[in-house]
Amino acid sequence: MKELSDEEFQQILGQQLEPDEKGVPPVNEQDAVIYRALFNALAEEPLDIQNANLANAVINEIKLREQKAEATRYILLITAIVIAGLLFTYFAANYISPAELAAIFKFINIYKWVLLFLVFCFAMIQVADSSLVKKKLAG
Amino acid sequence: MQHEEEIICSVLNGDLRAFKVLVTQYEKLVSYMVGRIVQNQEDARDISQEVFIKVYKNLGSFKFQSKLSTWIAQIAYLTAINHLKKVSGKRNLTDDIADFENHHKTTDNPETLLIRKNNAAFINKQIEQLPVHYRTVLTLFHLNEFSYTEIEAITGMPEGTVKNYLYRARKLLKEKLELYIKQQG
Repeated sequence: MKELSDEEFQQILGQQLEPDEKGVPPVNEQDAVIYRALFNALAEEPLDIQNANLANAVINEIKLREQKAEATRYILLITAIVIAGLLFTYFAANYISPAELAAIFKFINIYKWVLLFLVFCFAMIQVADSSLVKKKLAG
Repeated sequence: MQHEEEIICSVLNGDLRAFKVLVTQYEKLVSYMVGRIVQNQEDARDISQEVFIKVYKNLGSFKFQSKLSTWIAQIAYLTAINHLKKVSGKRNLTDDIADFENHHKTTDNPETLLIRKNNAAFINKQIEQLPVHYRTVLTLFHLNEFSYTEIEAITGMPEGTVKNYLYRARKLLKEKLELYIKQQG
């Protein structure tokens, strides 16, 4: 009767069975010992692979990136407001007649509290959003 | 699975403590896999960190169609392989085991390869010299205990190839270990 081949040994050990439990052909005892030692060695955790404090490092990196993203968002928002202001000034100076400009300022004057309220709401949303992000980052 | 779903929900709601739990749960899986593929401790640590940041960013797209461990392992595998391609081109991704076999033939004394005199340390040293795909399937199967089907899903290699790599790698390692044990007397 032929002995177990390497492939058969590996299959049996891979299924965590003992060769003699399977009613299979005779075992070359030396091969069996070496394969068992190999399978045990392969399952052992490598000592040279370190992961100390990985979780903390990952969380810190995420917080850092989110803070950077938030800062970038504010810079973009301020830039957009400045550009809008400049564009408005340019159009006001070149395309709007003094009479129309006076009408616009009159409109602003009439609805100043509504407009101020809208600006206040916008600012509050930004502050609330920012504090929510900070709370999340604080974890 | 229920517990895992709850953790994922918390993470998606921005709970970083929940994500820390997730990282702690899977850090060994990622570190072992990336460590075996990249083989440079500093790079491996940075890549492991990058893997978890990718997991955090993309967790919303995880649809529970596979195990979370398989999904994370897939991200780890692709990130580590991409790093290897960037660092050393496709040269390091070859499946050629001639170097390993030749090394076996010309090794007069395996003890010179070792500092720690035990089988696991010896085998780990030998695994480092195997081609990357062999190292990967050995790690996924033996250390992370994934099935052939899961390894196929993680690496994209057909199941037959996975089995073939495993068989050939173990046969080579067995020959080396046999020689080593004989020399140990």
